[in-house]
Amino acid sequence: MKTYMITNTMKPSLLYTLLLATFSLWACSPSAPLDPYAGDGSAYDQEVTTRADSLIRFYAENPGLGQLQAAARYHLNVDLERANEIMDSLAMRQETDPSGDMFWMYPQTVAMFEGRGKMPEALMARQRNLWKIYPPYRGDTENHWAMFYASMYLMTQMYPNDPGSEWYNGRSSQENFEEARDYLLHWMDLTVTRGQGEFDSPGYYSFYMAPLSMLYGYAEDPEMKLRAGMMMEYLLADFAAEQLDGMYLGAHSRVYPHTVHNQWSDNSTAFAWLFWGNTPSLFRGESLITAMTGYRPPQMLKSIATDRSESYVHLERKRTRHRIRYSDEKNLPVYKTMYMTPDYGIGSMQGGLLQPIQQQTWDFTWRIPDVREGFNMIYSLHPYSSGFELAMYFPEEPKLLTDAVVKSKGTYDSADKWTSASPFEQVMQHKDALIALYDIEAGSRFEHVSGFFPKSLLVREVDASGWIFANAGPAFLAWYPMAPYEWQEEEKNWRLHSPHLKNGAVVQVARASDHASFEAFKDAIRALSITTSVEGKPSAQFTTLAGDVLGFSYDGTATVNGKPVDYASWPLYGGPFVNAAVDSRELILTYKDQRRRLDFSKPAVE
Amino acid sequence: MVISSFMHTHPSPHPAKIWKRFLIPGFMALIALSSGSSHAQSSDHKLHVAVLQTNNFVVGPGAQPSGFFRWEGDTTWTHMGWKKSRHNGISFNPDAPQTMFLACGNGVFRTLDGGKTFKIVTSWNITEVQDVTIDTKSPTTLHIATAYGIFRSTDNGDTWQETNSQIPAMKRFAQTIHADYQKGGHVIAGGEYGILRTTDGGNTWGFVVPDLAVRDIQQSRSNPELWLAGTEDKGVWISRDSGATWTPATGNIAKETIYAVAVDPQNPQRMVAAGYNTGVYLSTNGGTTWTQHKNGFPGLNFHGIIIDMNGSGRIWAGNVGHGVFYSDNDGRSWIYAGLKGSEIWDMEMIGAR
Repeated sequence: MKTYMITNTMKPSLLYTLLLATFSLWACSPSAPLDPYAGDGSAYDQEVTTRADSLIRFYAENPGLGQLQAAARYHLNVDLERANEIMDSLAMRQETDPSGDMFWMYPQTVAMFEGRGKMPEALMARQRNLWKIYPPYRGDTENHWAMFYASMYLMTQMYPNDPGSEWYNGRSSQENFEEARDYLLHWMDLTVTRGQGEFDSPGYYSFYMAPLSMLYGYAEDPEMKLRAGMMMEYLLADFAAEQLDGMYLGAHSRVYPHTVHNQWSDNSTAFAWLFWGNTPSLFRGESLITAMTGYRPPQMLKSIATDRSESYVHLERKRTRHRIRYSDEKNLPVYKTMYMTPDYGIGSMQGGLLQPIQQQTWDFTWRIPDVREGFNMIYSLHPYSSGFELAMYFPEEPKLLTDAVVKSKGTYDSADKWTSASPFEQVMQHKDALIALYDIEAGSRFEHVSGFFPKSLLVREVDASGWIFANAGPAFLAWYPMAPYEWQEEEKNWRLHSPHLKNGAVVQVARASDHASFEAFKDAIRALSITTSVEGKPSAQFTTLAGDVLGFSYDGTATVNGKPVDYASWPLYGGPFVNAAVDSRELILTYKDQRRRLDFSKPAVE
Repeated sequence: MVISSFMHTHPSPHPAKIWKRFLIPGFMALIALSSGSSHAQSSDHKLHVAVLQTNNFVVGPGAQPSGFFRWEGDTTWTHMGWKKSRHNGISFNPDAPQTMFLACGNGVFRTLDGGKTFKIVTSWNITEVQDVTIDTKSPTTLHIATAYGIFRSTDNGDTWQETNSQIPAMKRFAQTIHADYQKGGHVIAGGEYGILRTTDGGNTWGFVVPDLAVRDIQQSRSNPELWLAGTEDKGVWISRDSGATWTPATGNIAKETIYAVAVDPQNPQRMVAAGYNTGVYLSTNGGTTWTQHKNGFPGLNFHGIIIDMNGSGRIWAGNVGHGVFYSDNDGRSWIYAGLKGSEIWDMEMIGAR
């Protein structure tokens, strides 16, 4: 067994910057530890290299005026004249009309690292000067801070001895470097002990992978480099277990309206394509950054991501982002369940205000021949908006917050939105069955429940038994609505609209291949025992196709076969492939006879 | 950088009874300029404002300059420091007015040269800073209110310590903080869960009014025992014993959400308050009754209010989304003073003691 780790003697002191040269010499010495992410020349390594090279070439040949287009040219050492033109033009724009904050910082950092020694000295000095004259905002989300501090870490590493007068914030290189390092280590530790607060977001996934890739690729401290590489593996493992053909399935802390119905088109897919090749190519600037570092995750992650020969349950525990008002806990635990099969995945979290604005609490998605077409999912939600929700997470005035958010997140206060957290939604899931209950406060925005049914379904029919049946091709769904509803036709979907405050849905899904026919599936569902009530607290009791008895009442205990669901012992990760205990600071990957352990306390990879 | 808003006029030598017409996107308004006061400030104290946000964007390429501004007269402002850091609060050292502190989303900004240069003096673990105050009896001591609690520095901002450990962790959201002008070590803070007070420089904090969402706290300069608090849905609260006890103002203001309060520096009977959809409230009898003024504003949400230090009685009001306005006739009419499209989050008259 190989072990990759940093010994204590290798850990940098506060005088780290003065020892860079020593580290560089050491890193080149025969005794330096192997980089577990350096690639091994295997067929898998070559396969990733092929895709990575095509991605880099795409950006290097792209005529666009962006820092990453320049960075790719510097990386390949081609068309440097154009790269310099781009950086010159962008510097002029930033000098006269600066903008972008951390979304400017991270590609700027990449361009400067890739352009070292290739950019003319005067142009490089001009790029450096931007960090003196332009004050970026640090932002207020976890992804903002990851990009901000990774950039500050690396830029102050590049210019280690500058006084505060040379940095926009008046802090010296050393002050900025130490602040950035402290935060990055804090964030990594919080993530591997309690999970991310902005978790499993198909859009923002790339904005963690990018700063981690930068640290892996450019950090001169071998410990930071190793930690960043391990964190990338951590996030890739998280994604691998919950994706199907590149689509990030299940519950999401944040997902945008324009991608919630086409999961393939979101940023995380770009990393599935790059590392696993299990989805059509999707290029993103953030995956370009990863590609340029040469990072190679272990091949077993590809196996985890692509082997869907057996169905499995995968559990995750996350946390809410920091709550600052209206809560007894700063970071409420989030309990996620994913049931993945060869044909579909259904995933959920417990509901409630777990992440403001863009939450998706549950989702059932099935495989389709061309994953790029999207509209292959069914789910429900209570569209909700309020200053209360926003003020739980943002410091501004509750009465002003909704208008403020709508300015940049236009659908937040829309009755027909398709992503939302709600304090009036509670969900339990057991394997392929799920109960979603709603007890909506009168006067709330809004007083109805929505269900998403795409028009691409082969069959969507209402049965005399009260069940709604859907034939999606490789997967079937049965949905028992607990309150009256109507169908509203929209462009690419039907909306189940139920304007009743006490509400719910019992959902059973199945692989088509497990049933002789769709009719046989319907017969099997009709024969199941189900009891629901919307008097008082909504409740449901349901015997699943597998014979498990689920019991759930709003504000009550969720039970499976009479036993309460054990949230107290919910793991950080639990399943056949990815496991970690809360606060363990480790991640264990398993695939067939392979086992790999990431120990973040050292750090080490075994 | 000098920013001149859309209606840049020079100070008028004869401003009385002038009608000024100005345009704000989406509407036109006529404002009566009916006082005899000059557009230019006559006091050593200059109006400074903290602009939280401009042009709708919080972060990213769409965001426009916001930050810290000094009024230069008419609709002209000088921008100081950084352009986009969500400025929430302002404080300064009256013995050395070149030393100013800004409470910002990114932390605490400090300038020692009147705004020519700034430094962020806090690290990553202090964020979402809502307000800052200097203990004028010990001007190197600062207190800040943050979304995560109250912190103190005793070395002019170089180092910081959290000081509200006695308060339950999830009751620490602090939005406003003010050090007593006269009593060193006496500081009053307000947050989501009540009014907090310390009399030992922040070593111990306790709620003097629990279960009250407090948005602003200010002290009268002419009667230092008199304090005002603006609250969520419960109007203005008044203390006449240096913050030890508080009572709510009654009448038409009692159920308003008040984001900003101020007392006339020359007349403790004259008070102003403004907040969510309120326009501006004025009391001339020490808070017994309040008169509401809603005419002449493009929007009725206000987050900043202050009465000029120069003795004119001028009321300055910072609108959420429409910039700065002032009135020289007890709120009967208002003059637009620039910063179009800005959310004015705090106002301070800065000058020597």
